[in-house]
Amino acid sequence: MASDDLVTKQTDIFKNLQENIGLVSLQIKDGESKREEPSDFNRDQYWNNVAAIFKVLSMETTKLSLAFSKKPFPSNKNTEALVHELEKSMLALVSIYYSLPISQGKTLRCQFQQTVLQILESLERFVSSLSDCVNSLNTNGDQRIQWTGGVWDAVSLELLKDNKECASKCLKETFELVTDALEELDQAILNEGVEDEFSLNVETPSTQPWSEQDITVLKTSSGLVKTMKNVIKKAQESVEKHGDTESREGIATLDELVTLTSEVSRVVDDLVSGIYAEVNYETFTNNGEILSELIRNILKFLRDSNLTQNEDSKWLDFLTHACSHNLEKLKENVLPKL
Amino acid sequence: MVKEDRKVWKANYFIKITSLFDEFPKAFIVKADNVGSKQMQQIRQGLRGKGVILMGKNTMMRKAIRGHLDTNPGLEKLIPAIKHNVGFVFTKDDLSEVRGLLLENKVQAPARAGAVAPKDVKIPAQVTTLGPEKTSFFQALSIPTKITKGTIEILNEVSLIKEGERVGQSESTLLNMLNISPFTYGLVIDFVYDSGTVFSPEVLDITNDDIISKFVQGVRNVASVSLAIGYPTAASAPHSLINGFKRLLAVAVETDYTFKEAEKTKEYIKDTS
Repeated sequence: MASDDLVTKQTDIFKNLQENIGLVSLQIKDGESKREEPSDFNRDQYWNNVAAIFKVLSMETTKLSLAFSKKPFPSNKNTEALVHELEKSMLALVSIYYSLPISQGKTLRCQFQQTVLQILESLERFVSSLSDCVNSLNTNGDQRIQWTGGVWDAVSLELLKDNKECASKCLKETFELVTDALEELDQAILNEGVEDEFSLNVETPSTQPWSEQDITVLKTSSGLVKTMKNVIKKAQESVEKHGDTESREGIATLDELVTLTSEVSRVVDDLVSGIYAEVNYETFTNNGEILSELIRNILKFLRDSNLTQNEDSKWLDFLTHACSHNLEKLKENVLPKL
Repeated sequence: MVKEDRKVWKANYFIKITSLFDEFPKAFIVKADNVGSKQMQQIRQGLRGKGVILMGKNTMMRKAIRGHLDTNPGLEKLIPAIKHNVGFVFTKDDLSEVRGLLLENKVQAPARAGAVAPKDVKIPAQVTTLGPEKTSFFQALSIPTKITKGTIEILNEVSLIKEGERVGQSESTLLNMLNISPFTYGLVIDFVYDSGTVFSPEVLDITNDDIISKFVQGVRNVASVSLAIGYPTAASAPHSLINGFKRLLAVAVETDYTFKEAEKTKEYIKDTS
C-alpha cells in the first residue's frame, strides 16, 4: 500500500513537471513576450551564462537519471528535491532565453529558440520516461537512457552567438540543398529520364527516355539553378566579408537576407521535382520564372545593401545577366519545334 | 514530356511519405552510398515487421515534407538532413533494436575505382595464384614480388589504400585479381528522428555506465570547487577529512606527539626495511 502511494506521488511529481515543461515550450513556441532592451548587453557574458545553464541542466538530468536507474528509487522527499533542482535550471534557461535582446537579431533569436525548444522537448520526453520507470512500464530503462542522451545531445549543440554566424549557417544550409537539387537534376539529365535502381518505393511506371527538346529544356533549367547556387555562394562570401553585428542596420540587413533566401530551397525543389511527373512546359516555365524572380530579388537586395561594395558590381552584373539569359533560353526552348 | 501515369505515381509517392510520417513516430535518416538494389532488398526483408524503408528523390521528399508541415511541424528539422544519397527507415519499435538490424546487414564489396575507402587496405605477404605475366600490375604499384614455383609471391605486407583516399584503377584491378573484397557496405545512420526531435545516433550508444561516469565527473568538479574556495559540501567533505588527517599525520611524524592512527606510519618511517 505504502509502495502504491509512493508510485502515485512520484507519478504526480513527474506529471506536474512534464506539464510545466509543456507550458513553457508552448509559450516559447508562440512567440515573443515584451522584452526589455538592456543598454549594457554583454554578448560574451551572455553566452557564457547560457553555456553554464546548459551544463547545470545536463547535470541535473544526469542526477535524476542515475537516481532512477535502479531500485530502490529515491523517496518522495528526495525526488521532490531532485525535481526542484531540475526545474530551477529549466527556469533559468527560459529566463535567459527571454533576456536575449530583440535588437541582437531575429535570426539569432530564432536559432536560439530552436535550441531551447529542442532541449525542452528532450527534457519532456526524459521526464515522461521517469514516469514510466516508477510505473514499471519501461523496466530496462532504455527510454530513460535514450532521453538522458537526448538532453545531453541538445545541450551540446553548437551555440551560434551572433546574427552573422546564424545568417552564415542558414545560407550554408540553403547552399547545400540547392547543390543537392542541382546534382539530382544533372544526374537525371545524364540518365535521360530513365529511373535509376531502387530510387522510389511506390511502384514506378516504366519510363520513356526524354526527347531532344526535353533535354534541352532541362539543361536550361539546370543553368538557372546553377545561377541560384552561385548567388547563394556569393551571398555567403558577402556576409563573411561585410556582415555587421555591431549596428542595428547591419543586424537588420542580415535578417532581411535570411528571410529573402528562406524560400530558395523550396522554389528550387518545386522546379526540379517537376521533372518526375507529367509536366507541361507551361508549369515548368512558371517555376523557372519564380526562381529567376527570386534570383533577381536577392541580387538587387545584395546590390543595395552594405553587404556588397563597388568592386562587387562585376559579379552582381554577371549573375543578373546569367539569370535573364537562362530564363530567356528556357522560354525559347519550350516553344514548339517546327 | 513523360508518360501520363507518372502523375498518379508522383501523387502516390507524396501520399506514401506523409502517411509514413503519420503512422510511424520514429525514423532513422540513413545514407545508402554503395548499397546496391540486391542488398537493399535483403535489408528490407531483414526489417520486415520491424521497419519500413523509404528511398526517393530528395527534391520530392523535401517537397512532400514541406507540404505536411501544417500537420506535423516537427518534420521541418529533417529538411536540412535530406541531401546526398539518403533515405528513411521508419519504425515503431525500439530504436536500438532496429539499428542493430540495420548494422547487421552489411555486405563485403570489392574496392571499386573512384570509391572513397572507408578503411585502410593492406595486402598480406603471400604466394598468389597469379602467373608471371601479371607482374606488371605489381610493378605499377611498386609492390616487391618474386616468382615462386611459377606464381607471383608478394614479399612483404603492403599498405595499398589509406582510409579516406579514393581507390585508383590499378589498386582496384589488383584487389579484384587477388579476389580481395576489402570493404563492407550497408546503410549508415546519419540522424535519429523521434516524435519531432532529431538527434545523433551516438545517443543510442549511451549506457548506464556513461551516466555514472558523467555523474562522478560532476561530483569531482563540485569537490574541486568546494575545496578551492573553502566551502564544504557533501562532495568535498571526504576530501577535507582526508586532508585534515594527512596534516595530523604530518605533525605526528615530525614531533613526538602521537595518536593511534598515526602509530603504524611512524613505525614504518622509523624502520623502512
